[in-house]
Amino acid sequence: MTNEIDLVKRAQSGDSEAFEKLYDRFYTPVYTYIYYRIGEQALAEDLTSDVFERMVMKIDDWKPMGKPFIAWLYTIAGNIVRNHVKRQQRIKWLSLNEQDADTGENLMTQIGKRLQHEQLARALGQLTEEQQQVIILRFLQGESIAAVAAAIGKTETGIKALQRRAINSLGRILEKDGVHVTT
Amino acid sequence: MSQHNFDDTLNSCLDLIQQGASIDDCLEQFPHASAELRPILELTAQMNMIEFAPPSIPAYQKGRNRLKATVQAKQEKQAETTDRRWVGDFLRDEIKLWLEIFSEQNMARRPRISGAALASILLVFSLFFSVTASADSLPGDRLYPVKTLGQQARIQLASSARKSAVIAEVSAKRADELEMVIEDTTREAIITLNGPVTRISDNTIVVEDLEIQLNAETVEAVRFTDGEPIEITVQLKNSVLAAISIDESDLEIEPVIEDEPEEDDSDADDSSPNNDEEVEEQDAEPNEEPVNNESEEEENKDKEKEINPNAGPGNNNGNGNTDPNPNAGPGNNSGNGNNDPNPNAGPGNNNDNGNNDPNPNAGPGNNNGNGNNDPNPNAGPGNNSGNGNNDPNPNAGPGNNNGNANSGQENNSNNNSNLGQENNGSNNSGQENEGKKDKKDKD
Repeated sequence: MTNEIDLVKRAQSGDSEAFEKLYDRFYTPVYTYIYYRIGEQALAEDLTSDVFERMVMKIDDWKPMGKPFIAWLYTIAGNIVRNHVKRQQRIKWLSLNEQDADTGENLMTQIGKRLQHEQLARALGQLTEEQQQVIILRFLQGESIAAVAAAIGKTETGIKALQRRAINSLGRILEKDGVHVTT
Repeated sequence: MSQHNFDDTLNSCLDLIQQGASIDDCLEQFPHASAELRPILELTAQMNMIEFAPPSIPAYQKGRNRLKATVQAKQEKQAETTDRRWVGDFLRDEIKLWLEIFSEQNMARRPRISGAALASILLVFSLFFSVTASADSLPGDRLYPVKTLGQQARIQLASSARKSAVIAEVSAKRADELEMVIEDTTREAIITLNGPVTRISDNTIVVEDLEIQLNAETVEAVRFTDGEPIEITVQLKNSVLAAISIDESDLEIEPVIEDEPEEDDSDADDSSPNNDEEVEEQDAEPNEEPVNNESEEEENKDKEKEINPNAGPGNNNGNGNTDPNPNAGPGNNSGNGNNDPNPNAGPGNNNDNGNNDPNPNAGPGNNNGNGNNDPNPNAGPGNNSGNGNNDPNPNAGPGNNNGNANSGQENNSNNNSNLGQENNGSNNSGQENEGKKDKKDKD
């Protein structure tokens, strides 16, 4: 993380190249996190851009407190998604795109997936910030336990407990919403 | 079974499922926990069916340009704020000191000037060189506030006998400057004027010898009689002055040139993860579990570890990484037959780079056919295919990464494990690297 801290410190001193390197480094993880929270590519791209704009504006507030820089970006991303959802009142979901057409899957299957994504995103919004992060990183992105621990800034033991609580909470929320998670 | 043991069991199951094992396979291995494991694993399987759309390259580039513009705007704003604060604070303190030193009472009581005061005076003289540098500035210029502060200082320092003459002189100079600015049709500025008002017509008034247009909003505000001092803020555009706001004036305040209207950045405050609004919102949302249930966890000790920026969902096959993976700027990089480092990086297509040295073709896009013998970090969202490397080849990131025949020590054919902390795509795995589609088919 030393190089990461150096990079952030350079950005804090106004080094524009450092900002660009931070963008290149963290664009994909931030986008992925937002995508799973809202389920729409174009919107996720716009909100990801918002995250990095706020990163520039607020980077002076960041201090190395033992957590990695990406954890701070996830927090900003979570806030931006929450504000967006609040403003919009309702979220638009996955639209048919070329990828869907290429797969040759039938329309009903696609609609089923969209609804599932909507339900999942809504349920995710009711979890704590860290629970959301662990669900997205570990269960949706398929990251290893070590990678999730590094991204969230916790030990692997802590992440194991967190993922159990997160998945149990998510299951309860989905059941309450009438979603049958058992196959 | 203790909670700690169950956490380990669950984690082992999740690893097995990510490697392609079925739920029943997992439960067979852990029959003592199958009742508790089954609903969790079934939910996991359902989540794996959700598709992921990687970010587009144009959006990535657009966001990058937006970031650059934001950085530039921030730098300009900071520079301006620093200048103003320095000049404003310094002049205020110095004028105060000068007034003290030269006031008749103090001169009579304390004819000798202290060393500190003398040093201060010398500083003021040096500052006057800065003020001199601003002598040619006009309303709307960056140095003009320095000039007006200098004029303000002259008025403040003038004896009561000369004060009105100095005010008249400064006002005349100010009027000349304003005229010069108004004649320049390219200038735009927001200006505050102080002076007696003269009504020309229902829609036109004159202040400081300048004709000002009134609009529907400001015409009502002209309740002042001719000769009454007013303070009026006007917008200069195309050599026309249009009133924005009108108020009473004490005539002592000098015209102040303001910047172009700035956007209200109060919204930026809500970007702070710790601001009140955010906290409020977070609190407002119901959580199925208390937030503090993580208290038992230890804090992260691995501060030196880095995260893989090139991580994300997608299928990444045949990759063996343990090294950091630098992503850089956009562009298409093809056919570079170099024997030296070839930093063709960034989003775009990076093809057929036959290098024998590090070839960081990275970033979102297609990175194909790079026959390198050294690290070839073709990474980022997109397709990374056919990279025949003999050394670490961290082809990672969202997208499809296929057929990368690496033989470096980190590369294990069909046994791809992006173990490096910097390379953890969603499905960067070896035997478990089956991609979401494969999982879906199984399930």
